[in-house]
Amino acid sequence: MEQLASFFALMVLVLSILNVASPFLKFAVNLNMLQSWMLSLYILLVAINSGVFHLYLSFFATLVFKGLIVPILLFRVLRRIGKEREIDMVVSIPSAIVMSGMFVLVSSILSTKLTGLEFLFGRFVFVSSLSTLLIGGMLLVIRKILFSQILGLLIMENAIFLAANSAATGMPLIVELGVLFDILISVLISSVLLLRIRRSFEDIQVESLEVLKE
Amino acid sequence: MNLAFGILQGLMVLILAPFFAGFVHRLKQRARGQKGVSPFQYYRNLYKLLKKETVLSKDATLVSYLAPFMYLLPHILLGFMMPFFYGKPLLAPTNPILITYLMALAVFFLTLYALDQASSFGGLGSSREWFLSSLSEPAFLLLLFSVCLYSKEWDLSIAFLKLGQEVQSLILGYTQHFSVSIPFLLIISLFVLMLAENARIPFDNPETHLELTMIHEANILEASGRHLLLFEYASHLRLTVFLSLISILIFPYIAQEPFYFLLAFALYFLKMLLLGSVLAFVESINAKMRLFRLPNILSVAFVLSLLTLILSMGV
Repeated sequence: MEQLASFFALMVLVLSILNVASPFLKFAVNLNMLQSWMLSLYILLVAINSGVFHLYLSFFATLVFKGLIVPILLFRVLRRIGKEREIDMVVSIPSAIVMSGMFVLVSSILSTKLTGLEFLFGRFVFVSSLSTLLIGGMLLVIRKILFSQILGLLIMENAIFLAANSAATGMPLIVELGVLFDILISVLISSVLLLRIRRSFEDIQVESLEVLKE
Repeated sequence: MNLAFGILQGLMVLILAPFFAGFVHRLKQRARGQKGVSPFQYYRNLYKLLKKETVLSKDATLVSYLAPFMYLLPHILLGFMMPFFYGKPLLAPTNPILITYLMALAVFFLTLYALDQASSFGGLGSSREWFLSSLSEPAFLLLLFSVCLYSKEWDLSIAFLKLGQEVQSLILGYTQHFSVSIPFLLIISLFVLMLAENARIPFDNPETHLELTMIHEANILEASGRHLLLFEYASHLRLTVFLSLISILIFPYIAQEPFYFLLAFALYFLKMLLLGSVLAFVESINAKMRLFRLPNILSVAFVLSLLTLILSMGV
């Protein structure tokens, strides 16, 4: 049970590293969907292990919101944008991946300092969530396309959910539902913004917002 | 007794190596809809090459005569070093650095051969070969280190043996700290490294001689006759060694007593056929990648092996 749980937590981390490596938008959305599924499976294991009832609801809500509705929305936006294109980044992909490896190292060193805390499924789940958070933040900064910045945001949200379920048995249900609704609205708003940028600049680079236009 | 079985294990792997390569080749051809050559075709190729004469360019020096043998020798040593299916190989104490060094030594002589013939493709091929292998070797080293750290043993043959005992205890029902994540990560990153080091499809396509894409073939373009035989046979052996490493990780059953030798060999053979099919499948569904996109995959493999190292330190 514990091994399986830490395997799912590991998969969340591995999928976010792969997300850094993927040069295609559609593949990145697929990876994000898979990551949300892994996260919800992890929450299910926590629910079975601790027997807290609201975690089952949390599993269901995560699966539906993050695993189905948000990816479907993103796929629709992708279809509206049209052409499949490579993701531009500020640094090259290999150096970004090595940086994410550094984040894993740093967070594993940090986690050894947390000696007083009890973790449900071992300390590695916390390492995984912390490094996923850092990788998501890095993706927000280094990618030039607005669309993949939405993806970075989603990865960070997944990491926070994982962290909430690693030390304690999740957040209160009302907080969780609020966060999920928040994500949905933010994805909606940023996709509207994305389509508007595309209409006025015929491209989805964030940099094009820097120039003035009549 | 142990000595005899150690030698027997190495010889069996040496003899079977062209068969495994031929099996993968045949599966790939069948997947493309061709009729496919027999899996024993590579033995016939090697026999044909044995009878041909060796032609060298007039600029060739002593290096060209030595390099093919020096490319084969590390692979033969590796064949006698790894515990493929019998727990006590001939050259017993092996450690990660020795294995990685032998792999690098072989590549060194391969590229030296390519440079020595002074053809225009040689320099191109050797620089590309080092580009790939300098990226994949750190990952390979970290990966072997994490196997050692996980089983707390520097000798790789004993480390794999311990891994096998853990899997047996998992099947028998009493397990303490067996981890699912570590073998999973090891298999994935080792598979990527196997594709890179053996010139397999997302990295290189050894079946074509298109000058823009070839990496491994550009190095042995000038080789003929006996030299080509040595290079071809050594590359089959290299593929077999890598596949065997993965097969040990997938289901580590290694015989400790001579009594179980045949059973372990049968299991090993089955695992190799399975892995060959997986390899052929992966090669069939992928296309050759651009050269400058290869560091992306290799750096993922590097970070995954770093992650394995962190996991096996028991964070």
